[in-house]
Amino acid sequence: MIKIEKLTKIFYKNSKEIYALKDIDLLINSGEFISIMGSSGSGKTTLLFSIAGLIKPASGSIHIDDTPIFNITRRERARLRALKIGFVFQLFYLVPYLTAMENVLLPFLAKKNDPDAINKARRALERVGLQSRLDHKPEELSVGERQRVGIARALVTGPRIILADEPTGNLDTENTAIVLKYLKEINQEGVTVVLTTHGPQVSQQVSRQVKLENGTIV
Amino acid sequence: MKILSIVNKELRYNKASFLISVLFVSLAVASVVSIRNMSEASKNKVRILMRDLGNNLAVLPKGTDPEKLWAGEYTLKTLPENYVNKLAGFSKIEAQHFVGKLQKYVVLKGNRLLLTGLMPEINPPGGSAKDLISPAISDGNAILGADAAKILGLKKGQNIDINGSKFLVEEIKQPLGSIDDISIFVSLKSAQKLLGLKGLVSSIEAMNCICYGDYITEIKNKLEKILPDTQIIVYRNLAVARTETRLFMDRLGFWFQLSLFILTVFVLGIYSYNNVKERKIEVATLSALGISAGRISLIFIYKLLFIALAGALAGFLLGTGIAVYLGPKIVKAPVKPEAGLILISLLCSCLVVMAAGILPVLKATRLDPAEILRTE
Repeated sequence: MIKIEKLTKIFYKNSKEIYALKDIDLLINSGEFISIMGSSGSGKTTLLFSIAGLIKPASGSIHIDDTPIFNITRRERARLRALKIGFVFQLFYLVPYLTAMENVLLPFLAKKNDPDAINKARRALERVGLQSRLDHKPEELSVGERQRVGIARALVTGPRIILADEPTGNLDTENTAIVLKYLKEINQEGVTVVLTTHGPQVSQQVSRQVKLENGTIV
Repeated sequence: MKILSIVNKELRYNKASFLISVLFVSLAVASVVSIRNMSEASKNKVRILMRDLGNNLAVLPKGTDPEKLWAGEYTLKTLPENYVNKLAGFSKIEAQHFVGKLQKYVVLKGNRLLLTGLMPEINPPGGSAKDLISPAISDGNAILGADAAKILGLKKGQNIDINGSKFLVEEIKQPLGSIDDISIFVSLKSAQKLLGLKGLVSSIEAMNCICYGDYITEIKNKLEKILPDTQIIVYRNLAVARTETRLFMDRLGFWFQLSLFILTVFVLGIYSYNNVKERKIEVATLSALGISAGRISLIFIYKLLFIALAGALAGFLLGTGIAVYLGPKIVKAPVKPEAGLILISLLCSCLVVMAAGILPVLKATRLDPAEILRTE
């Protein structure tokens, strides 16, 4: 469960206050598939990164399974992300000098030696249909395949929450459908999926939509 | 996936920048290794020259004109005999074979001969008896210079009468072409007794003094305090000139090395900084995936250590090669490479990469992942 209360985030530009998020209250139940929709600059990515503990709010709180994520240390937040959260990015952010397999293994860097890490990574890549691409570097993969590597990387450690920042923003219709299919499958296994999008067609695929405008939920 | 594996793959991916970094570190290390090797070779050469030179340090009574003394005009100015022990025990001076002498001309059978009383040779603390190069003359014995023996018509085993005291001739020296040829050597005690100068010597000489440059000025000043009313004479020679050249080279080398180190730290610092900058998305992604800042910084630290190790090894080999090849031409002495410099190489390269990498690594740990991932 993710519980957001009175969350406010202010950015400063030329000494001018810009409210990225203003008094956001949101409860996301375990196993929900929720989209945060909004135009560019509406605050959806800020909200998503705040849930991950990457952005500290000016005020308000976020609880993940009763853990107040801004009342714990930076190291503990990193640990929380490693244990409970998987991240999918619009631009994939794969490490260019590593193969698909190695990229998927990256989240294990946060953990102590997991003897089953390689099998888990292989299974994650098989799950997104990339069993024949294990040793390919990102530049050798199509855009859609890169995002599937990104999804495999997000789910390889078995997180309870997947945060996806415009995961289909860089994909064509066909690949968008594939990515959404995988996210739905993951959600059906009980994983909470929160994605941001600015397209209504993606939002229609989820169980709940939240619309953001100028940092507030509308 | 291990951090070392990531570092290894990144180094292979960015081979050119890795090799440039290693090159810079190795140049800095090579300068240290080559200069130290050559300096040591030069130092050893000086030691050999000093050793071969013989007596090169003399302590004379104040006011004695050394030129006149060496021309054979011995005066009656004297020093206390215990100055020899004081000099030999003075830890700051690096010399051997300290001998106190008492010399005065005597007339025997109408011939002017030089009576030389020699005290048993003293070596500094730690020296052993086998280091002694001239055996002590027993009381009652005498050693004659070649011309003195000829003039007096004496042979080994005969007795010589000096001012009423009899001495057994234990040895007759080969002609040397020096003042020694007209000398009669007896023990210091005998000479003191004959001349009525008990507890006194007229000079102290030492061999193999490693005396050069500013060092000897400092030593002279200290010695003249410990041994009042004396003057310290150091024979200038080729070894001194060579040492001064080496010291000059060392000073020049120091500034050269310092400049190279600063340049290397600067270049490597820029490289490391750019590396962190280029990899900021990678850092931010790893952070978003839950990898702690400490572990992320290890990726950069290990990379720097790789560069340090490779730079140390390459620099050691390069520096040794330069020293062996150019050393004989520059310091006019063969260079024997020092294996121990590999440790200095490692230390130097670690210092360079640490100085260059500390800020970029700190930057990597302080990057704001949200800011990077939001704006990219």
